[in-house]
Amino acid sequence: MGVGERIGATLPNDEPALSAAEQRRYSRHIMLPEIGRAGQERLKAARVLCLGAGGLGSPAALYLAAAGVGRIGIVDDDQVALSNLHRQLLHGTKDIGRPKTDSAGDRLRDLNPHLDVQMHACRFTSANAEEILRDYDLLVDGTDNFATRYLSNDVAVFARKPNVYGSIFRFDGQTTVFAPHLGGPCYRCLFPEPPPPGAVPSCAEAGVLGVLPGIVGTMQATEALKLILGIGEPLIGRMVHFDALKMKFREFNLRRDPECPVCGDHPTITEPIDYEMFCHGGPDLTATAEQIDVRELQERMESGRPYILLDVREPFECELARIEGANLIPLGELPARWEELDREKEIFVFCHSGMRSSRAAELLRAAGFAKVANVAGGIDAWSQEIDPTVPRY
Amino acid sequence: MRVNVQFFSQLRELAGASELTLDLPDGAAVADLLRQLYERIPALGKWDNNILVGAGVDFVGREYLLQPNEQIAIMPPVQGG
Repeated sequence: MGVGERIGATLPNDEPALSAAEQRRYSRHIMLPEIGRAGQERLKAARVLCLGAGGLGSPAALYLAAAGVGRIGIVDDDQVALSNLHRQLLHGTKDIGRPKTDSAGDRLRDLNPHLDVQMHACRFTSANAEEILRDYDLLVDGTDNFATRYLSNDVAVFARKPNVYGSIFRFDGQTTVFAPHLGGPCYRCLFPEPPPPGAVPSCAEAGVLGVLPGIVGTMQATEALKLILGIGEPLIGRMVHFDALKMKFREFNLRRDPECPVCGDHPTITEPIDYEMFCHGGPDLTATAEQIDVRELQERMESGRPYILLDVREPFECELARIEGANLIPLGELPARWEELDREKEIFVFCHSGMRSSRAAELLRAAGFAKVANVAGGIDAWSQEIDPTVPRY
Repeated sequence: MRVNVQFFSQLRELAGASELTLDLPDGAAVADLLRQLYERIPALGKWDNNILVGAGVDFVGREYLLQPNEQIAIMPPVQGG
């Protein structure tokens, strides 16, 4: 039984589920024989959880709201930043600095006042994930980090709810529907464990074509609607890869792995796991690498002791602003290139604001480099406190 | 036999190309292809636990036996949202 059939079965029979205003609003849906009045009522009865109100979550939530999905929840603990606006269309210029859940809630309620819009202004963690998901029928994963992607996969498998997956990198996107209970694989069938920390750049680090998540996020919304309605062929057991530069879609068949640690025949993962400390710049990552501020950096550079100033930003960022004498190894290349670094020297690692460099410092510590310090505040702090001729960006 | 290997997402940058052609002995499996690939491009070796290999339209396991002129896709996980 698909999720749409289950939702349909819960509809009350004795009162019209759609008001006159809703019937007019959704008339172009209702006239489609594949949807009709019954399908639109099914959408109204459906409950979808969007993880992230960013590049993917924006178009997904907007189209699901416009389509009349009765309850839409959004989990996000971030604030709107200027650099979000080229792709995150839930938020406007006036929203900069507001919690994304606030601006998303305003936008979705304005778009469709008939909905129950639920905002969860928190991180999705092992402590709250199952409880939040309990009130929804399916999950749209638009998160921006592996920690949450593994967690959302696992709790969706436990709850037997479809996980409509999308991810993006620069000009490329991937989407599929993970639903082992409907016969397909889960994320861990493809990638059993997260990649090493820092190996895969995020949008903030790698850049992204603004319209790309628009395409991938609307594909996710399309799949969510099809699952609810029980129409068409769901993207279960298939992954679509989209290359915007070539304007090519490629489809690959996926296999469920009977040895999968979470959805396999003998699962070893049976409760939610936080990968925060492994995957992303959480506080635990910085615990073992020394932290120095830019003034301390300046003093140590002038001390006469041999050092390496390691810039782990991307090459385009170097063109915008640089610190003289720095060696560039972008974070994503670091695991393949740390042999280039002299282990005898002190290594000062910096990036734009200190997040990527804290991961880089931790990677180097884990690789046996003893004298590593992370420059808190990064080149942005250097520009403000030490050398104002370095442009800010 | 020759097979065409295509790289996706950030692996393109690591490989320095979006595709290349490899010469392999008849009867070679995906595991043999990867071994040769890692010798040629050592940076890719670090991804061994975290890549998907597609043959034609199917993602396949390391034991899969390659066919001449097959299109092989090497795909990493992507996290952006």
